[in-house]
Amino acid sequence: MRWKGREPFLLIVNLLLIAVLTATTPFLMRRDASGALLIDFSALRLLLDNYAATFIGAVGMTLVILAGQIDLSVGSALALCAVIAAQVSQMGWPIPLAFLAPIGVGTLIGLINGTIVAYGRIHAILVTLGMMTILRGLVVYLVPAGWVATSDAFKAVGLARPLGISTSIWIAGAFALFVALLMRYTRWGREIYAVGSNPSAATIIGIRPHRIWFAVLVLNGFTIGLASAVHASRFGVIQNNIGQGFELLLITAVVIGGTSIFGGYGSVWGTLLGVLFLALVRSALIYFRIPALWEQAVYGAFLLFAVGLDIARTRAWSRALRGGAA
Amino acid sequence: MKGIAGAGALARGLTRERILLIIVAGMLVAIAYLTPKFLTATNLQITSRYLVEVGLVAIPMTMVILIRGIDISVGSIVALTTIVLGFSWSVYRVPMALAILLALMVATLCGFLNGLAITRLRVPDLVVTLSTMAIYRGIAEGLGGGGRVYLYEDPIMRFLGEGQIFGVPIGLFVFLPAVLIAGVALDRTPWGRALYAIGHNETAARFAGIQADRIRGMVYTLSGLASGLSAVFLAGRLGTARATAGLGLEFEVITAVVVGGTAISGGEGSIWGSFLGVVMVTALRNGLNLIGVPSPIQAMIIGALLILTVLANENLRLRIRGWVRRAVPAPPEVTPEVEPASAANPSSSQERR
Repeated sequence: MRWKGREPFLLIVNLLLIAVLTATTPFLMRRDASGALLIDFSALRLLLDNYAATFIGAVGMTLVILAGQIDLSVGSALALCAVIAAQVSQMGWPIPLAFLAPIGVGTLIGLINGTIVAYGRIHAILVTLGMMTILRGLVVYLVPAGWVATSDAFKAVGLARPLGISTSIWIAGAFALFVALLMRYTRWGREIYAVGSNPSAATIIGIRPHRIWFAVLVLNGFTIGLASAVHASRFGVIQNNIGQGFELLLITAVVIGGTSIFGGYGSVWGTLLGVLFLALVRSALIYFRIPALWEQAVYGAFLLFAVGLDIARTRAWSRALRGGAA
Repeated sequence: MKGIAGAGALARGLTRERILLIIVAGMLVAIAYLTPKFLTATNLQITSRYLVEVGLVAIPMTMVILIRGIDISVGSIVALTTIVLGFSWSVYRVPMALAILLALMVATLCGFLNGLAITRLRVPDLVVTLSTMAIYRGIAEGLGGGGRVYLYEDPIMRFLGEGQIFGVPIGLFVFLPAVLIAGVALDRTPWGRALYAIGHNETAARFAGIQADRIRGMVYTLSGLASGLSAVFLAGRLGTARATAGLGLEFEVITAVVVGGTAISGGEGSIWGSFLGVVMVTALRNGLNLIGVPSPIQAMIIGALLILTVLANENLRLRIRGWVRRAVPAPPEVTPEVEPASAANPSSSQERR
């Protein structure tokens, strides 16, 4: 983790939030019958478990935004892949297939998005907006009853806790670590930053931006497949309206995590802290009894605030640099 | 020689609007042929009410996309407007006319705030409207508290929703003049031409003395106002006010505008094209409905339409023009010596544009 940028600030904010929650609500500490304080991590653990799919999805979205693109179809893709995971798990095939099938479908969606965006030269907003509607239509068509259930064996995998940590968190942690190392130490990872900060300059030094955009969107599809497998394995019932507003949640988490919305600047660690922040805010809303109906408005306000802050900072930087040069 | 020049002129005469007009006409004929219910008066009345709701928002959306922006908060503005309208009328007992006025003011304010955030904070259009999409819908849900208000007892609402003059739904008397005014404004006024200038090259437009930020703010404010109007008609048609109103409206409107030939990269497009796009999308939806295609499949077809049209618009058209240009050498009339000859035939000189 770099000790500049948004990450340390966000870490402190998160710790403060946890401290406030601990002090005012039974989030971490509560009194038992005899009046003694006892520390209870179960709420925090449940929070992390429930946000495992969001952690995974946000990692993919970080790469997409870093490369200067955007993907609005993630919510519908999550729904489609989760439905497929549930249906495959019901067919009585081996459990790993219920993980592999949604990943395959997700990657396929990513391939289609990536091909149209990178080689059809169309802005990702339109492609993924169209894809969002197409996939949601497909989900509603596939699940006319409104919901599908997963098999018990599949759910057992999702709810298992090897070494005291749930499988969801193991998968999310391993994937985030893998991508973070990829971004930092491989040539390909650095090329994403280069393309995101200036595609023309990247072309001049021999990087092909379209290949990067293609690869990033395919990886994002893979990520959504993985996220939906994790999501489906934790929840017994998949409704056909899941994932609505998921794109907003991911983009907000990524931008709060310090990734520039224009691309080229940011990190996976920041994104993870951003997701944690949103998860804590959600718990705070619940503990302070604010109706869940306001939740979306709060996330939207955070997104606007984070981007505004980011842009104000960039402007202040450029002003300082200009002043220094003169 | 005559034949080759004819082919070239034909290729150059095929502007987006004309191609689209042919496609839309063909589609309408096909739908009418497939289902006899399409051309009945009742069906056309119902469809045109829906057309008005999409079309009213599509007018400013065309302007927004012309200046390289995008506004995906329109559906949420519709929701907020409906909630303000319904709850101020039923809970606070505001007279309906005043409630409509209040709701329109709220909608305009929403659009104005979008414009303010985009021009003052310099946050990208997509991010601002993505956040306000969540914020406005969130406020609507919070205020509505998950409930709904029934409006159909009110005479004004019933008039807006069901009223007609000579068999023509009341909404068309608002929508068609609006199309005409906006279309002429875009083609003939300095303000309209400034939109194209900003879309082509904003820096150059600024140097030419165009106040780009002011115009951008105005366009987003207009978008808010139009969404509010659309919401009033929607509330009248459905007879209810609830926070789920206008869900997915942005998708339908953007599809109509893009299908209508407005380039997402800005600076190219027209209100006339968007009008045809709106007719196409609503007729397609209505036709699929009548044929009996399930609603999720309809959404998929329209989503595919969006992606395919953009693909065709951005790639195919340019490539076809390239082939035609290579196959047909540039006609000699473009040289100044022959200028009087072509001036004698104004129709051909207009087509060469």
